[in-house]
Amino acid sequence: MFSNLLERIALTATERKPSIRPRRRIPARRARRLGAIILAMIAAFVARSSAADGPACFEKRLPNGVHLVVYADPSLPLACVDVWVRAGSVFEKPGEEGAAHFLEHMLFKGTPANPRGRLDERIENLGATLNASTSRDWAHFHTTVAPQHLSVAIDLLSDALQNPLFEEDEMDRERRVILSEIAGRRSDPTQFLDDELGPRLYGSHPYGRPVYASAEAVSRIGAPVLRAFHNRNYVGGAMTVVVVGGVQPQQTLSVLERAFASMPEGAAPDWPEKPSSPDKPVVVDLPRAPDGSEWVIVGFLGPGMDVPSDVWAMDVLISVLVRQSAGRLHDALVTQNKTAKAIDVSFLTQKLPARVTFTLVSEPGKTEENRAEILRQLDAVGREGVTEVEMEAAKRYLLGTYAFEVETAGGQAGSLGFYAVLSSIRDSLDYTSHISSVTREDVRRVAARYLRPDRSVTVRMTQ
Amino acid sequence: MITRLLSILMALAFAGACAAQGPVADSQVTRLTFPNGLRLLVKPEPGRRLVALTVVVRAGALEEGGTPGVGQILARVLLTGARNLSERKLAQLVDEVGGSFSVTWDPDYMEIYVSTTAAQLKPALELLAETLIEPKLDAQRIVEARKQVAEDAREAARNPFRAGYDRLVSLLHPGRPYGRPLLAEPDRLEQITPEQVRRFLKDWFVPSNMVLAVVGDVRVEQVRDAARLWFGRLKPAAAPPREAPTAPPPPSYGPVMVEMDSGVTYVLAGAPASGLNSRRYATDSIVAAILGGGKASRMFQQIREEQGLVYELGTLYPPLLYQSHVVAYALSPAYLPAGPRDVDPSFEQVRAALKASVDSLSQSPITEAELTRAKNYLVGTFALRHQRLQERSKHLAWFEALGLGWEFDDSFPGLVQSVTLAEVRERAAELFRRSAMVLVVPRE
Repeated sequence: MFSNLLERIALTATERKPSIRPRRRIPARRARRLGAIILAMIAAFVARSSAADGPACFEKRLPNGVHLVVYADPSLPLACVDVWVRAGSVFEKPGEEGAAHFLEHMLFKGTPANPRGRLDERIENLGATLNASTSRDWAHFHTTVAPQHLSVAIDLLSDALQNPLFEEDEMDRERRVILSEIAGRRSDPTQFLDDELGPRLYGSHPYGRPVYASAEAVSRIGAPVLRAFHNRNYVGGAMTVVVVGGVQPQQTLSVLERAFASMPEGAAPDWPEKPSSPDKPVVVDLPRAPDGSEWVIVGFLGPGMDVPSDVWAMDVLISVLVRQSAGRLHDALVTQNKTAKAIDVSFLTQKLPARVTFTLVSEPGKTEENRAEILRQLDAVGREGVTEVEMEAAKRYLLGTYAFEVETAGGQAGSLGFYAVLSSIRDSLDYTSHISSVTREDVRRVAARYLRPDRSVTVRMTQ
Repeated sequence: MITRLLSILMALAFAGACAAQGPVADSQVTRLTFPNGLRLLVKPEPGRRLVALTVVVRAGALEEGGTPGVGQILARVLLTGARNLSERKLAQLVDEVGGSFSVTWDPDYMEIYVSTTAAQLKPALELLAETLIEPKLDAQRIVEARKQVAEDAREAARNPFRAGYDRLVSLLHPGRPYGRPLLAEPDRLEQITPEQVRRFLKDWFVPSNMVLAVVGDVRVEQVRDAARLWFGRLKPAAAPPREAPTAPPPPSYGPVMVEMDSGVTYVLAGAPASGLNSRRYATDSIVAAILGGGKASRMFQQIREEQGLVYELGTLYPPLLYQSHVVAYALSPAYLPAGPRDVDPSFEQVRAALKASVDSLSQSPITEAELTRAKNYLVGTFALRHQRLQERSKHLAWFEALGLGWEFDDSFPGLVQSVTLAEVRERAAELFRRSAMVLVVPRE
């Protein structure tokens, strides 16, 4: 599933603020449904030559391999440029662990033309901020500006990606920032559990290690490692540049072409071997969180974009199981049994089999009961399937969430770039029809295939 | 800007329909006042087939009086729906509406919103109106809501940043509504009776104290007619008089330590700042942005870029109506279990670095370049906070309900741009002169 999961799962170098606006947002029942909105209207996107009446999407491949995408939507007040690079942690070679994420930080540390601080100053003078995040498959870099500033923003982003300095003293300072980031992440039970689950689920496959790798690995990385990773992966064939907003398509393509024509040629790196599931259930016990609460994560190896139809079915399935304040598992554990305080589900689509996880905070002493109930319910879905009512509610929720996700220029650009890296922008544009075509049998089949209790991995913080 | 549709013809047509007061319209927003006093703002934005509806009721911390937490309990009750809407119907309605439904409590107001497809405008209005007019206020439901809010408050108290922030704010606004924790203390919540919750609703949820804003793929007359159908039932009434809180005394607190079961340390420094209703609000916003807003800010450059001390830092300047505060914060991991110790900065280092940045406001004059960057950053981030329909409807209703007028939403960028270097330097020199500091540290 593409969505705000990106923000939660990917590591990011953006400035972060704790959410303490002095107000209390009460969790609400949410279900978002898609109107027909824009996606259906742009089915013939590449053939469109005018964006006069509504959104239209244009693509171009530069001689150096850079993939340009312009999604012109006159109703959007702002414009986003979002550069996606197939340069996630999965492409790190032995000895480079942590380089993908470290590099993302260093790309904002200045270039000969825009030294440290100057880049941020210039972008913030446009009324914008530079943001970036790194995951296992990709890194992406983006900013949203008023359309009249788009050209400058594109040039700044292009410069940052092509001409990093990698100065040793800058690296040492940034290393401390990254170690601080890692420590913060490991103090958050949700992220800590996800990190601990990875190697138990994937074994030695690179999908198993955290994107940041480890504090030790980060401490070892020097400039030559970052340079090598950058030279190998930040090449034309690995890069998609997306612009979304109320822009003139041809003019924007020209600006992009000028800015990215100097990107080195090169093919995108090959994907690694496909990981395999554990052959028996694994349960690991760890100490409780500092505040004494009981947390547990139950994970499985789900589908990847090598089998896209299973990905769409899994997106529907997890929405059947857990939505905001609803879903089969939420209802069972939180509403009816009252054995869990909260439950969350996560499935961030990847090229190769991605993890499906259920994370929950248990009432005291109820962790094992909750785990057993999750496995029992998943087993039941695999055998008996789901009801038509559940299917419709899940689809409405999923499509609605997606509709609001792509309401902004940044959201739309994120969706296009995300699927461009993993498959094709067509999967972004056709997402609603993919979801609409999922059947109950599809959902039962993926539950039976991927969410098998005998291949589950559990990490508990209960000791 | 997003395409908007509002014709003078349309506005004239409404003048006859709304007997009490004609519409006040400009090129973007139509404002109507119903005979019962409810204000309606409509901003048509054709093309996206989505709509957002927000009701802001001016009923926040100030209005809670001697019963802090009563508004939060009511907000929780409102989430469970209305007398004429069963749980199932509410679920269906929200599901069918296909958007989101939320109730938010803020120190200055209560906000109820629905996002949905434009085709579901009428059910969404029904949901809002029923929630406000006919909420389920039986004692059992209120007691259950009270219990949930208390649990949330306990949970919040375990969050190190939240605990530190609440402590700091209590030092900056001693004995005043804005100084209370974001969520009332559980012990005080327990004392609130169902009757007090009902009273709060009866006193403050009157049409003259409410604003409904609708933004999206709708027509003004379509919204007006549907809103009149559902909200016209509200009986006119005046809200009780309210008094603005007196200005707090200048703070001067050395570091106050808060011990937490947590692996992180937060350093927070806070100072009183102007409220939204002050002419100096834009100036103080600029000072806060120069100090810690964005990556080109002083804190980011001095603490993170030059020293590499922490990952998470910045300033917060909540837009409270009467008096607010600027908070500069930095998070430091208290331990790095798997990392080399020599890269683990002590919180003393972080505290010193944060204090140096704050002190630089009075010691190193703001430059023209800093001012320009901060202005553009503020105006840009303000635009970014208006990207969603829901955000746009919220801003309109919020500013209108607080007495600033929805026009504040349009004028704020201009206010920012009009601030002079001399004004910013003057405020920067004095802002943190009297301040408070809180250190959140792991319990030994």
